[in-house]
Amino acid sequence: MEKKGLALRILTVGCTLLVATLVLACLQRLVTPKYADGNMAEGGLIASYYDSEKSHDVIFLGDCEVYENFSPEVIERETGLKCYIRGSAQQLIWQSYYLLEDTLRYETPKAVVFNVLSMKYNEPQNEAYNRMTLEGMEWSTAKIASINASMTEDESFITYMFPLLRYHDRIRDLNTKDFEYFFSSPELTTDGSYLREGVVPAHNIPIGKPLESYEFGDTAWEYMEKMRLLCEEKGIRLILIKAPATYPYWYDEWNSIVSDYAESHGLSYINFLSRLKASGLSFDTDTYDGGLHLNKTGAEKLSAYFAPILKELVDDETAGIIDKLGGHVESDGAPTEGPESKSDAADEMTESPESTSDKEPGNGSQTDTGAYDGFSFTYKTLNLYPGMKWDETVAAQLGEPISYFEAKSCVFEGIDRMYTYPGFEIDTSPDGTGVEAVTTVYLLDDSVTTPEGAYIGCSKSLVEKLYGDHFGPEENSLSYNKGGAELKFVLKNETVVSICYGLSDE
Amino acid sequence: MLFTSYAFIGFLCVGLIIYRLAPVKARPYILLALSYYFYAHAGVWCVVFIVSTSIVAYIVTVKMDKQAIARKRYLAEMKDVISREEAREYKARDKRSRRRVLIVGLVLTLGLLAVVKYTDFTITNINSLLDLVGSESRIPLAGILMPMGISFYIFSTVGYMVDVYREAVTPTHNPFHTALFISFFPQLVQGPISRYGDIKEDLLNPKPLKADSLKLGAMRVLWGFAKKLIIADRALIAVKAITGDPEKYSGAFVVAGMALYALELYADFTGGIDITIGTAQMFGIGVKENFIRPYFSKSVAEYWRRWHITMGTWFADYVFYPMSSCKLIRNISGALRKSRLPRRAAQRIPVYITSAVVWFATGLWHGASWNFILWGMLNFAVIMISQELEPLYDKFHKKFRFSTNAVPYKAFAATRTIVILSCLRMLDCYGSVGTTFGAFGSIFTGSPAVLFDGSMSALGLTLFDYVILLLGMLTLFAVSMLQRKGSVRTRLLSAPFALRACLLIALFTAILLFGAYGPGYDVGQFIYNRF
Repeated sequence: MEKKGLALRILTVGCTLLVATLVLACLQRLVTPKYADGNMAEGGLIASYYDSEKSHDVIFLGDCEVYENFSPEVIERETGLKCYIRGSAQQLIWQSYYLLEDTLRYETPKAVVFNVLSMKYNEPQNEAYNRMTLEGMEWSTAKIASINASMTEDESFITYMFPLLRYHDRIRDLNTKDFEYFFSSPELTTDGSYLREGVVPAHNIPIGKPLESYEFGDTAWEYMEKMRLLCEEKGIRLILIKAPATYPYWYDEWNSIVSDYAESHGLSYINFLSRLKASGLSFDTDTYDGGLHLNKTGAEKLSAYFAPILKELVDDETAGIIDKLGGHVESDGAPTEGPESKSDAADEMTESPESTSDKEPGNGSQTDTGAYDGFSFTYKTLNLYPGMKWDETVAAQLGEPISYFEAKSCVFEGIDRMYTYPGFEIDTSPDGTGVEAVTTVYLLDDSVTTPEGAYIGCSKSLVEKLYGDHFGPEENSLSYNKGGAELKFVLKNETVVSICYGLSDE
Repeated sequence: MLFTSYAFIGFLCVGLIIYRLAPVKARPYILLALSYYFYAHAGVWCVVFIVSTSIVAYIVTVKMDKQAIARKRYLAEMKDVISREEAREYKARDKRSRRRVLIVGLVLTLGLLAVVKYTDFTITNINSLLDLVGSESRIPLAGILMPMGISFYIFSTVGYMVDVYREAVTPTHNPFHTALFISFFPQLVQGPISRYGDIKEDLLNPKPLKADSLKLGAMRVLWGFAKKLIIADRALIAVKAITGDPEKYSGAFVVAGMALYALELYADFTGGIDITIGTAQMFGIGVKENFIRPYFSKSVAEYWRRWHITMGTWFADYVFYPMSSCKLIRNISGALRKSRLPRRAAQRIPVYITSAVVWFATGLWHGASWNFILWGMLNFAVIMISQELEPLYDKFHKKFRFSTNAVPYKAFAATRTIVILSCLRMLDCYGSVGTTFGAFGSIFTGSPAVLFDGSMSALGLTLFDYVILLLGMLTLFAVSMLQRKGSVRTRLLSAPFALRACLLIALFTAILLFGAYGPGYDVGQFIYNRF
């Protein structure tokens, strides 16, 4: 009798737990994004791979520069090589590495094509993008490692295990798609690509600002090495590429570092920015968003150009390509190939005189900063500083910009805008509440000065005289913090080549 | 480590497994290790303060106890040798000696609290005075960080030392036990302020654990999470918006803010205490209740007997009563009785002087700023005026044959109490005396229509959120009504399993779905944690 009672009790508890688990699992499925909306479909790319036939010759790894710029269909048509793109928005290098590990659980391709833009990121960047990459992965040690490597400070591993904890608030935003795709996911792609129609020509492309250091970070290198060694171990040919895009800016220095690395390890590196003419791409017609990504026509053009090169690299072990030349797209959308570098312009600036008398002076007026007491740049009577709200009044006071460029987020993070005025550039983006705010103010040439009197081309000693001791151990820059703003001077040969007002980390 | 964090839930699960698997005798030591681990999460430097307090408490209590033992032994041995007069003198000497030890203990522990909590407040006031007299010199602020829960554990420690001095409790001679009493982790976040005599049996001499204590504790923790996450942290968003921009949100918004803060504070503090008591219960330790349906109180005085009970009784036992019987108050009382004042006034003035000191201290304990001190004194004023007007009320009730036991009157009185307290709490929400009075003064300006023209959605909450808050409030009310007939959890424990399971799964699911946690929410610390 007692045994019967115990068995009944166990059964009751077991059934209760089962029901509870089922209820929670259903709720979790319901609130988890289905990425079925047109503007966020990229979130479904990673998961699509598991439905594909796992017999690919080539796997592409990378971010939007890959899945929007290449067409596996065209490559297969041209060469017979079956390709799949394992890419997602702002896919970081370690995420690409772990996606490769994940892929190797199913198949071993002949070649891996990796887009090197993500080398510029050395730390986790953004939760929304992380989730689009990581949540689509099936559970494996690779996924666990990728989550751990990718999480930003505010994220918890448990929310990846139980997405209900992350998406519970979507209960108020449920739509018909959440019910329609309750049992199955929307089919977005069969080859990992996500090609867009439409034409928006590129214009007003911003120049690359001089950087304090052109070195890639340790973590980026660590995963680059891991990827290379893994490919070596599995007998896979690793091909590095830099896809053609106007923005983010691909520096010649970065290009040299990657090509040197490729050369020293017997890898191929193809910089499509240096092959724009050869590939027949035009940023007047082959882009749907002003040069950030190619449109379908552009992607097909690029893929048709790349296909025979890829075929040769896959088939012929002795074949190799190292693109040592950089390349950029100029403001009219026309490609420029070769080594002409913006940093050369910076070199010329080093000859500017110490005098500031012929420059647009920063008069230090504080009329518009209110309680703000940090560093600011003054133009006319308007004080400009990082964090300030950017609205019509501010824009009207500054007048018509010389040029305007906007970079839409790959998916949903708003729009970064760049306004260029005589001698300076203002970058804005939406703040946490969606209000457009100034993120950075760059001084572009020696026609303007900081209110304290520093300018591009002045000497390091003048900056130290004006601002005093700087913080940080960096050799190539002087940084000063005040009131939440960081004023940074990038130096080359003891001369200022870049001045930038940004938000302080402190 | 926030109670409402994944880290705490993980810590609690692992801690419970270790505690339950450990031999009974080892459990206090495991609990001590868990408590220090929990506390170190707030900053390893915080541990220095709690260890120092424990060392002082241990030395002081053991010293006083040893003296008491020696005295008792001496008097027992010398019972037939010394006269009663000599014995009395000996006792008085011993008491003086033990009092000196106690004073050293009080100076060290309360001094520590004063230094970390009130240094900057004192400096700010000195600087204001210097400014007032035209001096340009300023004392720089010390910027001392306040260790988590110091107000709570220092008060527990003071209570313990005084109780030992009064020989109301026998102290432990095990330093680890002293440390455990002071650092018992569920109480560190926001109290309650436990008494050694109430908790020592469960804490230091644990008994084999019962399954029911785990179930009851877990249910209470779940209920606490629901209050905190679904109601308090949701209401917090609107309260922060209103109080953060008093110029923009004036008039009817202030009233809305007061109502939302009343809801938030109740759900936050009682929810936190539910988690505290529930957690302790899961470890088989009974912690005193801190609330008895305070919003059902018919007067502010009654409210303070039902809200944060352990703080109220602490001030009563360790400040009010000792002060009432001190020489100064006795002398004042004697002088007043001899004066021409009416008898009632002569009797009550010493009580009010003592009450005023207690409320001043209560305000100061809540925060080192003038708004809290004023808040304390206004509470005192309301209670005093209510008591003075009581005969008038009685006459009024008798004349109009008002039954104070009728439900409508009770509802009216409870609402009146909530309104008065909400007005007083504005000093807490707005954080400054000037801003509070400015906001209060604006209440009758503008039109209440702003609450219904969509402006409320600009406070960070949608209609969905307000519906959740309303449902949450109704649930709290319903549960409070049920509690009048006894513990809801105990009744639930004897209910059919299916019903119990359904209710608990529903509650758990509601927390997961409707809780204001995760990205997009600025989930706050428990309000009382900052005191």
